[in-house]
Amino acid sequence: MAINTSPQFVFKISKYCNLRCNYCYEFPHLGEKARMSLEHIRTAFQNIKGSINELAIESADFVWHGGEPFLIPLEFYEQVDLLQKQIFGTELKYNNSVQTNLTVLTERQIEFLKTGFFGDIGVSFDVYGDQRVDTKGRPRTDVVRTNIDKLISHKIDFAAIAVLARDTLPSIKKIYRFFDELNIDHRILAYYRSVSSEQAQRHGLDFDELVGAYRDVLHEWLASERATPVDPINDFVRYAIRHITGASNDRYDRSISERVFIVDINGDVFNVVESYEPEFCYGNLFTSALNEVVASPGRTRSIALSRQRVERFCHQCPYFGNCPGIFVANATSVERRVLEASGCPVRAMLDYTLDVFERADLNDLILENRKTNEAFAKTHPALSVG
Amino acid sequence: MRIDSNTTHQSTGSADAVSVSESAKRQIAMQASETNVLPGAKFLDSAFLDSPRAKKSQ
Repeated sequence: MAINTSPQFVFKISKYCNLRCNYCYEFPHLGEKARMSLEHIRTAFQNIKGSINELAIESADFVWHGGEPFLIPLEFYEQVDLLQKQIFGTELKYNNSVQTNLTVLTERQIEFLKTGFFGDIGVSFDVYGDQRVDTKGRPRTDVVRTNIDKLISHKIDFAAIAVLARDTLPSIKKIYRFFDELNIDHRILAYYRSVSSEQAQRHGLDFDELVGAYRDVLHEWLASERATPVDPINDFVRYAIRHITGASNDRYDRSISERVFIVDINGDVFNVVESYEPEFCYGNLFTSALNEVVASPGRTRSIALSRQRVERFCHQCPYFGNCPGIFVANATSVERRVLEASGCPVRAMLDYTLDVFERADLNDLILENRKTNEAFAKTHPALSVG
Repeated sequence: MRIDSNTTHQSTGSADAVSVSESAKRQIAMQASETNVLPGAKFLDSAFLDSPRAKKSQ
């Protein structure tokens, strides 16, 4: 079995966090201070490197994830940098990303961020909802807001993630406006992974709530003079444009294009669908080569279930191919409950987005621009981007 | 709401005017002009959701 030629390895370097967001999928482990050792990371890098040719890997994205990765001393990342240079050298193009709650941001960290070690920085910030509290239950919103201003004043690029869950749902329009005013690209991340049925019950949204929130954000984006990009609205708009222009060749197949591999603190590798479920563990990157990990029975089992879902929900969908079906293929248990109960929210959003485009007379604009590009590509084939 | 049929979109029936900014129009036009309208299965959409946004340049 193959994988995406640009895989992402999400290294769970420590589960330790200074926040206690109730909806967090790592919630029971947030007080654990254990950290992945540099020796283990070296081994994992070597096990990746040994499979570069067999898996035709062209580049890799290492996502440093927690817990809170900014609680880890900077020397750790400096050592990781050296290991990457030693092990990958020029044989593999790679990028480092980090997802932080931005409650801690020292002057030294700012200087480190300026070095560019992290090619992509993501800030988790809901803006509203008061879920992001510290271990004593105190909201940290003001601190994060101050640190966002620091990143901006130091001209350090970053994106953001706001969780769409029970407590943030009423503020979803205001959340978009906050990031839009600061021109920060962001993702509205619907609560998608749970640690317990109680947590899912407390924070999960049903189909109508989910689609209603996405509709609200679509209209906020459409009406904004800045129209700051926001996921997954970006995706819905792109799929809708593909539908209007007849581009229907994009179908996701996990057996050849799976991209995300979560490396847990003990080296166990999981997908994004059944993370931390032993039955679907792919193997261990501290003890096995990547090519063995991706050929594991756990992956085979997971992909078979994925295919069944795609057959059931996507094969009859008129948008399959405009939409690659990734939501269905990668649906977590929380998302599968929505699918089972009410169908695919992406499909509902495509119905809605296409209707909005029609009402706003955007279809002609889309077809005109498509035509102009086709004409250009015919006359300048060497300059067109495929 | 439940969706089972293989039909495409139905009008919501809403008479509300849709407000579309020039900036949103520009982004829509730009997306439409890109050859193949950016298939995403390979890179864009398959990125880890709980991480910085995937970039087009990938």
